[in-house]
Amino acid sequence: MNLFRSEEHALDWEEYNPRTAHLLRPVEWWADAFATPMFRARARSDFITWVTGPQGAAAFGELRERLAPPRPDVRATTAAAIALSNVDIGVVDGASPDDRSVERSLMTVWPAAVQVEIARHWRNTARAMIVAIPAEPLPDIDEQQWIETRRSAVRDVQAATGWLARADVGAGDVRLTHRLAQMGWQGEVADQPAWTAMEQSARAVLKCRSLAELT
Amino acid sequence: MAADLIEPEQIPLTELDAAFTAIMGEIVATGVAPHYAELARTLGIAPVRAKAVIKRIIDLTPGWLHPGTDYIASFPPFNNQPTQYRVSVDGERRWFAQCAFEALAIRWLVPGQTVTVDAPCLLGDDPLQIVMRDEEILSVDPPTMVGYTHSMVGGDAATRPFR
Repeated sequence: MNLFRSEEHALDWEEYNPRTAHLLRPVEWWADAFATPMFRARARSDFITWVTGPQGAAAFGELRERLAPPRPDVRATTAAAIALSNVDIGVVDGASPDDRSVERSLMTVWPAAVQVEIARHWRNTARAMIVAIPAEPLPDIDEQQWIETRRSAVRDVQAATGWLARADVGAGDVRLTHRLAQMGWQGEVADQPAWTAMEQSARAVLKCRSLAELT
Repeated sequence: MAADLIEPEQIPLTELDAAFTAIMGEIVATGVAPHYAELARTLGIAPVRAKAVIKRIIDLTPGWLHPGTDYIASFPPFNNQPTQYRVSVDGERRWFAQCAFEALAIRWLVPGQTVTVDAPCLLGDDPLQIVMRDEEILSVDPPTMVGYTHSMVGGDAATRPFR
């Protein structure tokens, strides 16, 4: 169980096995996996009793499930999320709320296995990137600065979307806000609509994941 | 030999709980797992029984003894034998993690303290670092860092050091 500088480095490792590609994950994903009850319980004074009992068995089952190869629909959803994160910024930049260019662009890259219901939420995710990042600047902000801010917001929405897909976080995960803060969305920027867009997009991604996992 | 008379499966769970807590507490405090004779003194039991207790705990957890010895080599999330995963707690470098992923679980044993994991990338170049405290991952450097294993959870205990 090893760390690598990047996904590309891991793929270049001589012991990399494509059959376990689902176990190539960002550190944040692994940190989440190793925050499950199986690992927290080691601080208990009755750990051996706990781990050999029904709670320990359930915790181990949860860990096994988490590390199991994803089902095809989950894989397809992840692929769609990554596709969304790779949409050319020019498609989103300047788009109006009723612009369908983003979703048309996405439809060309969506895996066929993505179900209709899931695809609908992906469309909403794309729209959130447009609707909640208005093209018009706020009254007290220089127009050029606003354009740059907006473009930066779109890029970050995409980065967050890609990260969320790969990280496999659950709906309502508090790490979302932490992750966005890590990306620099703090201070005055946090008060702007772009912040809302980030969260809306991210929530839509999480909804997609939930649907994929339930179907 | 008296040791042969102790059936590890017959050791009460409460005794195993106390031993596990003592071993883990010793590693957290010193960075080193106790020898069975040291554990015996801590628990107030015979060394031969402490040896059986350790073997039973190892059977029930994903650690291991150094082959052919009674020495604890790995007691996750820590490793008694040095690994490339060097761990500092509140700036003091004293511990080693069993693996990259177990390194991420050390924070649960040192609540409120800052855990830093320094490790090399297996393909070389500059070192990697993760800093965390309780629920927070404070930094991942470089941010592109990933974790990977080609082994599934569970499996043969003999393969644990090679996963």
